[in-house]
Amino acid sequence: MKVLIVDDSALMRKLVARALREAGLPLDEIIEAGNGVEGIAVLERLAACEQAPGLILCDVHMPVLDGVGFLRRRAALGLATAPVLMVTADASDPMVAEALSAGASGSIAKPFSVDQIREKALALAVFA
Amino acid sequence: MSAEAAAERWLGLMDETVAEAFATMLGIECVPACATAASPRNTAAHVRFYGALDGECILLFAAVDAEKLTRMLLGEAPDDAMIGDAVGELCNVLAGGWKRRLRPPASGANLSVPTVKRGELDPPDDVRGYQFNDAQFAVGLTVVAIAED
Repeated sequence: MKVLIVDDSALMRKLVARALREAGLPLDEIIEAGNGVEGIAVLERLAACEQAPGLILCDVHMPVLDGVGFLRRRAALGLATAPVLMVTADASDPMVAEALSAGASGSIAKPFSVDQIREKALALAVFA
Repeated sequence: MSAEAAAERWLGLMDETVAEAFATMLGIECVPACATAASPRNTAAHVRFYGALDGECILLFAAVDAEKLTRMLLGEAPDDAMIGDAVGELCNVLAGGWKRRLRPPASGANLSVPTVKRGELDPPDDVRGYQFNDAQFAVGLTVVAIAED
């Protein structure tokens, strides 16, 4: 399974990637993107090869294109095939509700444990 | 509730938030400690609350302790950008966790994205110190207005 992590914080991308590996999920590749535009570019590149991630973990607040913008643009481009887990420090952020309306499948609050990542990922991920 | 009692309650909620964050992220204890630092605190992160809570949360680290935190999170030697990211993320997590512990409607207030500043700082007068392993940092909480049931 390919996993896409969209987050403007390089540190958070590393921490999420490490948690996914430690969770023991069957991962083929972890792809990182620094904002929603980069995330869309990854989805387009994969789609061109008839591929898609099995799970996307996405930050809410990002420069250039935020999490909600990413969800809306991927839907408009017909790229909304993978479940998206929003990663947030503020579960009551109105943008999390907006993200769920825009196609996100769930959210996980920071700080998260490996067990929490495993539980959420197993519930949502599409294993090829 | 008096202003002093409210401030004491908010600090208690921050103690809980800090303990939870360090236990979850690093599997270690982080406890309140004397808010004095051997090294000058020259790395700060800031998150603003707005909506049903008007205020801010500021984290202050000495550079050496910010580097220790980041190294512990990553498990490797960090570069400067990663250190700024780590202090900003911790501020984000603590501000979000503390706000969640308030009563509504303040618990539903909004957070700004964290900003990180390095160099010469103008820290708040009243800060709470915390210690983890051999490192420490300080949290400054300012509440201008709050709506709680």
